[in-house]
Amino acid sequence: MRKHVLLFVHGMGAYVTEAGEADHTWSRAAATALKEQYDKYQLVRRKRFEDRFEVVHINYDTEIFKLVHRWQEESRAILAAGVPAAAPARRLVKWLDDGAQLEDNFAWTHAACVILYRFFPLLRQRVKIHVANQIQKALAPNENGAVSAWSVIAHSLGTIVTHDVLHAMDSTTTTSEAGISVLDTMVPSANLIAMIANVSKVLENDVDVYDSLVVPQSMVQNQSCCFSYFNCNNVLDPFVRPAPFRPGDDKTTWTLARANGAYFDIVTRNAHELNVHSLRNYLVNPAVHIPLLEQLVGVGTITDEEKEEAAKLEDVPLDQLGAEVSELTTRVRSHFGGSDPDASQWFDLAGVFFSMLRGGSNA
Amino acid sequence: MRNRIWRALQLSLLGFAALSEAQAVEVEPCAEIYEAEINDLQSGGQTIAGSSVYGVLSLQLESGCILGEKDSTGIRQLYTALPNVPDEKRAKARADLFDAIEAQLEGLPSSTCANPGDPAAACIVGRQLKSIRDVRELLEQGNPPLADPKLSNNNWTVVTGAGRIPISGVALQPLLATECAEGALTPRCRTAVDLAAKLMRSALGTFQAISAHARPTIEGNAEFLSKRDKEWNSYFNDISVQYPWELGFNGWWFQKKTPAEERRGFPRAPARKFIALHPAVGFEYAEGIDGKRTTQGAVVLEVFGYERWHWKDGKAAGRVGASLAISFTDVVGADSVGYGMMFHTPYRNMSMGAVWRDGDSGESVNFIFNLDPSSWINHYRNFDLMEFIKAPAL
Repeated sequence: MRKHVLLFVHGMGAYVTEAGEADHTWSRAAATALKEQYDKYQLVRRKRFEDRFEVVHINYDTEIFKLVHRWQEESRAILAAGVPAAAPARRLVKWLDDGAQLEDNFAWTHAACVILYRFFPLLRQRVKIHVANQIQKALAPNENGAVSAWSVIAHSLGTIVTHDVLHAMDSTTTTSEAGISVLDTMVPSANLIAMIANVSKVLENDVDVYDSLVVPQSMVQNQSCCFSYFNCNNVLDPFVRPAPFRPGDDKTTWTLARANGAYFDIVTRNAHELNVHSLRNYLVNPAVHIPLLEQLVGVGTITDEEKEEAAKLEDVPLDQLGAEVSELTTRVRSHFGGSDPDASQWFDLAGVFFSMLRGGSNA
Repeated sequence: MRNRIWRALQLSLLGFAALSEAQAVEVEPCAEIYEAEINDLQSGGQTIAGSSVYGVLSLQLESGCILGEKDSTGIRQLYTALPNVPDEKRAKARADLFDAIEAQLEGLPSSTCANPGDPAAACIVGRQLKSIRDVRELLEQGNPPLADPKLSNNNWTVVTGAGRIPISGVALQPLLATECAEGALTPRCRTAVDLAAKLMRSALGTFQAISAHARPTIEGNAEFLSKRDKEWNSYFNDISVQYPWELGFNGWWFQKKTPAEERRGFPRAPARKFIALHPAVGFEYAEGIDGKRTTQGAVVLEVFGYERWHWKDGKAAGRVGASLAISFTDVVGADSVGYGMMFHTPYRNMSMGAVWRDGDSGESVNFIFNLDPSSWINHYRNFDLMEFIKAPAL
């Protein structure tokens, strides 16, 4: 029988090598971060993480990078042509000539990928089909049979990408078998879709995230792509504050999912590293990883004593890190006139936060 | 209400008592493994509460006694072989698989209960066994549509969290927590654990049988996604690059012309694009002050244009396009700006055309062509340089 397939979907940032190949460093670190928590619990770790899960790294940054890289090459060729008369054309493309630099280039590696996904529908479609193809390959049957259990852990920009792709896979029927979606033909709904630092509402595009098929199954929502949905947000994370994912009471499917214990709305306030937006900073929190592990390996596998012990974790350590986090928060707020950035400033925040973070960590 | 709860409890207890007797004649592959696991945990000083029993049993999924290497029922071997069985032998192979799946539950007391959510063990077994037989019957009929609700994958799974099996409406975690409240090795608990293992195995085995039937459709869907992926890849990486403003305009046009429902799925890549303010390096065969023609480096700016094609096997075929262009070049005795037309070719996104340029010796018409550097760079990126520059064999 196949292992539980665990898909990791990265967020904003540079996840490509200089050669343009997919760089799975983040994804591997994410799986390691989860494994660290997994190994804390006696009954859970009785089966090795590697024996229970087949980890799959989903990457879409390669497609964004290819486009930005082409812009850079075209721009550099024009600048290098040395035709003085072509000054108007040079002015047009000069700003593109460092787009594909991967080091310390937060405007391009973080802000631009979010802007390109949200405001450039053609690139969004390119990313969607590229990710869908990877998911399809990961979930397709092989010589050991079909995949009977799978889950997704998506982070930041990856939350909206995951949302858009799974909605498309669960609503698309090909001509070969009308009436059943690409996803339903292949696998049962996902055991768990964990949206960590969920920005799917602020980056919502063609599909309303509250009315899509990315919602837990219930009596009123038979067609859906998951059995349970995690919405995890840290109040110290500036990215999740504008337009948070918060389906209202009028959204019956979500209300019912919450009542059924299938929708987990987890709000945390912890800082265990300066990058409060990082996946690791979320997973280290027992309020996140305990219910997450229970959905992945079974309720009751973590004892009450272990839960009590885990709950002793201090949310914001009162040491130098706490002071640095506080300083970073103040600096980010002062960039936006002393208040939290709103949804319209979200894209600016993507560049600003990571450049300040780099500055802070170097300090 | 109180009577209904009492009735459910009675049925449940009766069901499990009856199951204990039935189990005596059939050995569950998980029985010994479970006992050893509990003993091992307890000898290590860990107390296994009833609520943790499901967690212990779920360790056996994937690799253990539930369709894993320690599963002696043969179900796993039968379903992994099924997709590769020749057509003429498939019916027999599927029948063997269903015989093995049904055998999991056949010896147990089962009942068709009036209430579809009845939690009594016999009702759970009855519901699951009937549903398995329904699936078998459907698949034996020939080629049932996968959209038939009886074949829904969502029914034939074990939702890991609470161990819910939708087809029979049972949640194994709370069931085992109740049955094992007095100990993880009590006869009552052992009976419930054996039943839980059989329910999981038979549900997941049926899912595998459905999946084998769905293989051609799954492969068709994979082809569909792969073809779409190729088309979009070609749109972005083979066809000449679109600058941000062009991508923005073409994106706006795409949103306007593609129905919303299609955009939410996997629409086909566009088969046309507009070109606007598109600069590229090129060359102009320009006439100088002495009337002689030389090839000059130029930057060609396509002011506005249009290109279209059609998709064939994931590639853009029959590409044609044209645009109004300005050529910037420095030619002694001539204006630095020339105006003309460009025509697009599919070969490495090269374009060619003609520009009119004023000069000291009057107006001249010059041949121009431009390149798509990124296309050339991509093409030659993977070339072996030494192979490329070495002298050709004589």
